[in-house]
Amino acid sequence: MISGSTRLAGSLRDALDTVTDPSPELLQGGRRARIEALQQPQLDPEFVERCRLALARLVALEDEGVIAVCSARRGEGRSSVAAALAVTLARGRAEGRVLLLDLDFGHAAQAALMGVAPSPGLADFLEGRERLRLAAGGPNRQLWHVPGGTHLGDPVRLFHALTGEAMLPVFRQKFQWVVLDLPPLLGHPETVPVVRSVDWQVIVGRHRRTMVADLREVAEIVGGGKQSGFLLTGDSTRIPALIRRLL
Amino acid sequence: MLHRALDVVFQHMLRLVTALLLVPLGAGAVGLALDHSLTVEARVWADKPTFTPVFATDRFTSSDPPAEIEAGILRELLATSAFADAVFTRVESGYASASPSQRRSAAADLESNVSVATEGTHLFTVSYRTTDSDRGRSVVSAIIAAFGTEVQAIDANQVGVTQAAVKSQLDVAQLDMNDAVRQVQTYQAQHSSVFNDPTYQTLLGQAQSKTDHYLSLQARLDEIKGSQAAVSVMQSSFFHVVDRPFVVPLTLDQHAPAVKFALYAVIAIVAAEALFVYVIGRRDPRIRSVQDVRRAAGLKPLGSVPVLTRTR
Repeated sequence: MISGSTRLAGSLRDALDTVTDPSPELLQGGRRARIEALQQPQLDPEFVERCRLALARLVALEDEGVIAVCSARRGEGRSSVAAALAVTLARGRAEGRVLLLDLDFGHAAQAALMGVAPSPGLADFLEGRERLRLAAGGPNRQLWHVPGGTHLGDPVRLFHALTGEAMLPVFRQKFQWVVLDLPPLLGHPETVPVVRSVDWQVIVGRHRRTMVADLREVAEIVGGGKQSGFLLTGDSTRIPALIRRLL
Repeated sequence: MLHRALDVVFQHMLRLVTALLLVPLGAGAVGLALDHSLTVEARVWADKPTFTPVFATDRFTSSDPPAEIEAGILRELLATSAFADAVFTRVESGYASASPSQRRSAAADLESNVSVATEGTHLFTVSYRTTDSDRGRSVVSAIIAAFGTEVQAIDANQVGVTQAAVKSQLDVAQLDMNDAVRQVQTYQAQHSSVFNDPTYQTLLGQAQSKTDHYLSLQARLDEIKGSQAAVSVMQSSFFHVVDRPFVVPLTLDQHAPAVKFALYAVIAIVAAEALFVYVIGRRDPRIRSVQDVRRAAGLKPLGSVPVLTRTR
């Protein structure tokens, strides 16, 4: 049901223009799309601060790019980390816009975090059933969010549409930073081209839960290198800080 | 591995500490319940003798306290089988006909169950752990008696050795003296006038000298015989029992089964916990530290975030 990719990329660009950079004609005609307001994500300040430090270690002084947040399996804190990274970028590192894109179709969690309705979203747009829906929030409306939406077809085709017609560059043109919340890499081979096409990958693993073997497999998929980093979530270690510093 | 091991330790810290406390306590309680033994103790007074015969012991010439000196000798004696034989001969009438294995076990019993400790500079205690209080009293009494006999024998032996040496010197001196006197008498019989004879005067001088030597040795030997008699008297002046053997109330010392059980339990539980930490740290396939990821997957660590608590 997905129509031609070229046409999709074009309509995506138009949709983004309509919402983010409406032309004077559009504004005079009162046809500018109504933008939903994002709520402040319900995240622990300590959590956000640690994510900010992790981001600094990964991207250093770079001021634009696409960051994919991925994990080996579900339930490892990936969506929270993606949200925290987007919030951090919007607050401190971006003069332009930051887009949080929920690509975990079928298990989209960002809408709930951001306090907006989960559908319609990107899946509905890619399947041609709905217009692209964006929500914005934060200081000066710098943080933007595209919910995952509801897919009726095979989600594999959605990823093919995203990568086949270079839709990511369209997002990159319109936003200074793009944060992708991806489905788990193991069991979702369709996500591999997306992961490999981004500028940085943040691989998330949960303390005392994620298997080392799974992470090794994820590292092989991602390819490693300087653009990849690992963030340990749910760190519940009770080793005293003094000992950790000594180690 | 260190990070993983520490993570396991601190994850299970409460359980590990609880086990480390409760298991030895339980083992100690079991030891206490199973322990029917009691301790029989006697207190002995040791002092430096005010009179020491010339040829008797010289062990009190050191600056150590008398209690240390006597307790040290007793400890050394307890490790000898001859002393054990001397003790148990006093306790059991049929011990003289005991088999070598019975003697060895008796000696081992004495070595492991008897303890000697000092209480100040003069007092030392002899303790014996047993299940039979009457036998315990007998053993402690026998130890003290055998100790007195043994110390006396050591002193007497020292005097005896000196006496034998002086006696042999005296015998030689007596022969020399007799020879010299005989020469004087023979010379006097062969010559009519000897009073101004220089040879006679020389022989007479030699005879007098050897007689003096003999007499001095004789006096020394008499002195040694006096010391021999003094040894037994002297014994009571520096060594006597203050408290006769008595059963002491329950005490937990290093020989008590409860303490031994608890110590073994501590060792066992520490070993088991170390094994537990090693196995979990080694075999657990899950991430326990950022370093695991660096080592196993080669990914750059970006840090860690705490367990998420959502907030408005």
